[in-house]
Amino acid sequence: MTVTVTPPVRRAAAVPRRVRTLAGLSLLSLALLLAAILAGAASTGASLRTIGHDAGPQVLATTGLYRQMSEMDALVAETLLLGREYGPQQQADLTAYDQRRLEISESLLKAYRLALDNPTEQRTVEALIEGLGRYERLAAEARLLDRQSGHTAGQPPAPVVAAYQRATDLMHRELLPKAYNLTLETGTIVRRAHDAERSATALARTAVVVTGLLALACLVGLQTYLTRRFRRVFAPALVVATVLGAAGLVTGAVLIERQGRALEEAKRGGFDAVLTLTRARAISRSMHGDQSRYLLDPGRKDTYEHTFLDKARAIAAVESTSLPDYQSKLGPGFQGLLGGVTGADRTRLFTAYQRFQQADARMRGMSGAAAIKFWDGELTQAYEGYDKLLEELVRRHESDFERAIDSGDGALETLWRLVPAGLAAGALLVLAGVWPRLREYR
Amino acid sequence: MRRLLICLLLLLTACGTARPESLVDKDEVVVAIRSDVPLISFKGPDGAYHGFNIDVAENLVSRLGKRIRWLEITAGDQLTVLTGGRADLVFAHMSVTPERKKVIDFAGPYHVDFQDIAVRPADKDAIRDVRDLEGRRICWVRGTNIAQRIVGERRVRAIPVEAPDYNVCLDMIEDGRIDAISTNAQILAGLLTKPGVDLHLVGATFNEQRTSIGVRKGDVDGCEELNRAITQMYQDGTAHMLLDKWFGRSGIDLSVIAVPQFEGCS
Repeated sequence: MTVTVTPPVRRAAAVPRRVRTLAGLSLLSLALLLAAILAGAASTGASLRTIGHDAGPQVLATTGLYRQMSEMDALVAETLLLGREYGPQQQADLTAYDQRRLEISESLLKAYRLALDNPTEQRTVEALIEGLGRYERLAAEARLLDRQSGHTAGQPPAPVVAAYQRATDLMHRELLPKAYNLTLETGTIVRRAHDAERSATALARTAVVVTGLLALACLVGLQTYLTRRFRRVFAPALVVATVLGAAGLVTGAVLIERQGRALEEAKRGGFDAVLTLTRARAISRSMHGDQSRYLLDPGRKDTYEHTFLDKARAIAAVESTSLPDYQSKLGPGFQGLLGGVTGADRTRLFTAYQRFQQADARMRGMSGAAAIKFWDGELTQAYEGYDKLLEELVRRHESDFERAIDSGDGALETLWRLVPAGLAAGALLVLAGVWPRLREYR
Repeated sequence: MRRLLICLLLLLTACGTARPESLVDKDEVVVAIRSDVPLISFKGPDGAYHGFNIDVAENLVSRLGKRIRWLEITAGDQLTVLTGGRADLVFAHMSVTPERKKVIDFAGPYHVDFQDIAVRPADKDAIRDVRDLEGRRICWVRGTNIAQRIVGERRVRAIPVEAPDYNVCLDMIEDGRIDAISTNAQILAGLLTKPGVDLHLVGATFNEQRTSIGVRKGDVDGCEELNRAITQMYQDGTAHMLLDKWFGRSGIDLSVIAVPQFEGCS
C-alpha cells in the first residue's frame, strides 16, 4: 500500500517519526527523573544510616569513656581520702570502681569497631588499653599502702599520696587526653560523612527538579504536537501521564527535602547537642575529681585549683582573672560548652551549676577535716544535683535524635514504594497515548 | 527552557561553594613564627629558621602534603596576622585562652608545658616559688598573658614591667630593672642557652601552658587535619625525637611525653 503514493508519504512518514521521538524523549526524561529521585534517596539514606544507625550511636557510646575514666580516678582518690572509719563507703566505692571498669571495656570495644578503617584511631584505642593496665597497677599499689597505714579520714600519709600521684598523673596526662581526643576524632568522622552526603543530597534535589521539568516539557510538547497534528483537544492518557510526572517531581523533591531536614535536625538538635552536653558532663566529673585531689595533695593545691578553673571556663565561660573572680562574676549570660543551652533549661542549668560553684568556693575557704566533711556532704550533693540535670538533658536530646531519625526513615519508605510506581504508570500511559496515533500510519 | 537550565546551573554552582575557606585547599600555607626565641624559633647564622616550633611546623605541614612560606612576626601580632588574613597558621608558642578563642581557633595543643621562673643566681634562695614574687618586678612581654597568670590568677602581687621581647627582659634582669622572668619552661630554657646569660631556673612548675597552633576562625577542616597530624606525630615517635633534640639537655622534665588533650575544632 505504500508503493502508490510518493511525495505525501514522505511528509506523512515524518509525523510518526516525530511522535516517536517526542514519546521517546518523554520516556527517557521520566526514566531520568526516576533515576535522580532514587539517587537522592540512596544518598540521604546512606547519610541517615551513618548518623542514625552506625557511627552516630557509636560516637555517643564512646563519649562516655572520658567520664567513666575520670570517675574511676576520682573514686580512687575518694577511698584514699576517706579513712578507716568510712569502711562501708569505701567498699561501695570499690564496687562502683569495678562497675566503671566494666563500662570502660565496653566503650573501648565500641570505639575500636568504629575505628576499623582509621589506623591512627585504632592505635589510640590500643594505647588506652595498655595505659589502663598500668593505671590499675599503680592504683592498687596506692590502695594497698593506704590500707596498711590505717589512717583516719583526711590527708593520707606521704607514701600513699606519692603512689596516688603516679596513678593520677598517668590518668590525667596520658589517658584522659587520649580518650577526649578519641571522641573529638569520631565526631570528625561523622561530621565529614554528614557534610559530604549533605552536598550530595543538595545535588540530587537539583537533579530531580531539572529532570522533572524536562519530563514535563517533553510531555507537554508531545501533547501539543498531537493536538495540532491530529486535531484532538486531549489525549486523556497523556494528560494523566503529565499529571503523574508532575506528581512524581513534586513528591520526589518534597520527600528528599523532608528527609534532608530530618537529617539536619538529627545532626544539629540531637547528635551535636548530645556530643556537647556529654563533653560538658565529662569535664564536670573531672572538676569534681580536681576538688578531691585539691584536698588530698596539698603540695599541688595550686595546680589543681588552676585546672579546676581552666575546666570551669571551658564549660561556662565568663571573663575572669582567678577562681574567686570567676565564681563571683558567674552570671546567666555565660558562654562555653553549655552556652548553647537555651530557655528554661538554661535557667535550671545555671542554678544547679552556680550552686556547685558556690559550694566549691566555701570548701576552699575551709581547712583540714572540716573541708573534707563539707566535700563529702554538701559539695558532693551540689555536684550530683548538677550532674543529674546534665544527664536529663542528654537523655532528652538523645530521644530527639531518635525521633528525627525515625521520621527520616519513614519518608524513605514512601519514596521507595510510591514514586517509582507512579512514574512507571506514567511511562505506560505515554505509550498508551501515542500507540493509537502511530497505528494510524501502519 | 534554556533560561531555566542556566538558572539551575547557577543554583548548582551556588551549592558547591558553600564551604568556608580552609588551609586544606591550598598547596602553600603561610606559617607565622617568631624569630627571637632561642631553641624554639630563631634565625641561624645561615639565615634559615631553626628550633622546636620550626621542626614541628615543618613536620605537621608536610603530613598535610603542603609547602610552607614563613612569615616573621612579633608576639603582639600573633592574633592580627590571622584575623587580617596574612597567615594561615601561627606557631608562636601561644596558649589557649577564652579571650583569644573569640577571634581565632586553636589546633592542638602540640605540647603541654609548665610555667617556670628564672632569677639572678644571687636571688636563688629568696625566690623559690611563685609566691615569692610578691612585690617583685617581673618581665611582661607585650601580647603574652604570662604576667596576668601570676598577678590575676595566682593573686601574687608582682609588678609587671613591660618589654617588647625577651632579649630586652634579659637586659633588664641583668641591670636590675626587674627581678625575675617567668614564662614557659621551654622559652626560659632557650633564653638560658644564650651566650653571657647567667640565670638560675627555679624549677617551680606551676600553671599548665597548653602550646597550640593558631588557625583562622571557622577553618574546621584545617584544624581537624592538624589534630590528626599531631596525633600521628606522637604515635610514630617524632614528637619524642624533637623534644629530645631541642630540650634533652635543658633540664626540662621530659619523663612524660604523651599527646595532649586537644582543644576541639568547632
